[in-house]
Amino acid sequence: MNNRLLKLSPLTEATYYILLSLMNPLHGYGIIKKVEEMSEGRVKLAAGTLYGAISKLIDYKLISLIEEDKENPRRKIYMINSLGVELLNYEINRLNEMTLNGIKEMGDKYEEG
Amino acid sequence: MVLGLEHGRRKKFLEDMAAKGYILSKVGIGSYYFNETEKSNLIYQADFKGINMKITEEEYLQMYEDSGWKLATAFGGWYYFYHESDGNPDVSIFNDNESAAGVYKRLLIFLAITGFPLYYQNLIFFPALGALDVYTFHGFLRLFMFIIMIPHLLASIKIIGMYLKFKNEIKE
Repeated sequence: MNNRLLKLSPLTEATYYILLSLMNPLHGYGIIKKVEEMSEGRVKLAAGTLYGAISKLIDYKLISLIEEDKENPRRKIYMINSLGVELLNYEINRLNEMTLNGIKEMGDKYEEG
Repeated sequence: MVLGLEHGRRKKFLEDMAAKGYILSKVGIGSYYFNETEKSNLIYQADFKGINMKITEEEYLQMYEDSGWKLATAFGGWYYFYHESDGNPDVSIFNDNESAAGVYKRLLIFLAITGFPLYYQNLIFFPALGALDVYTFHGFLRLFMFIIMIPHLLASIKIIGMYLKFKNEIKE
């Protein structure tokens, strides 16, 4: 894990979910739907955030443009690349440590929601 | 200087106009133009796309369209979108402060690129201010550039302030 990547952590909730949804190739609209589905309707990506996050993920070479959508060429399809997977792994381990500690320290005061 | 609609009077003004039956059709320097239409509850948001070679304007507008925003008009790199209100006044084009701060970052980069020739010409390439003679063509041009520099500088300071405001409120 290089320092340039480490600086991106912690990812915002939106950026994390966008990167995660791109484990499979998707266009912008596909990302919005996938993230809403994964979070059971809790995270509704807003357009400005999606645009900013995709630009940033491209700049850091975490995702790559795959192709244009055949039905609507104005929609571009992206997918995560190896650097993105590396960052996701780091982030998931970090979040996992946080939640496990949370559950452990809270003891019987922890209520699963 | 146009500085977005995220909060403030301009956003409220446009939304009040929509409630009276006037929808934004064009933005000019310091002025808004409207078309008469049915009275509607709209939410306005403005975004500055900035210089981005990797995401085309077409793809950018498609993302907004896919999220239910309609383009009212565009002016000076700003895009004005509106959305039918469903009663929730907090509908935003941003999920978090990091992406809201991104607008001001893009604006600053844009201003730095446009401002460079202005400052370079005036302060570095021709530093001798004493020799300024406004009656020659070059002297007049320099004076003119100085007058442009003032709002450019003020806008830059204001944008840095807005950027820091959002940046300081970032939560994970």
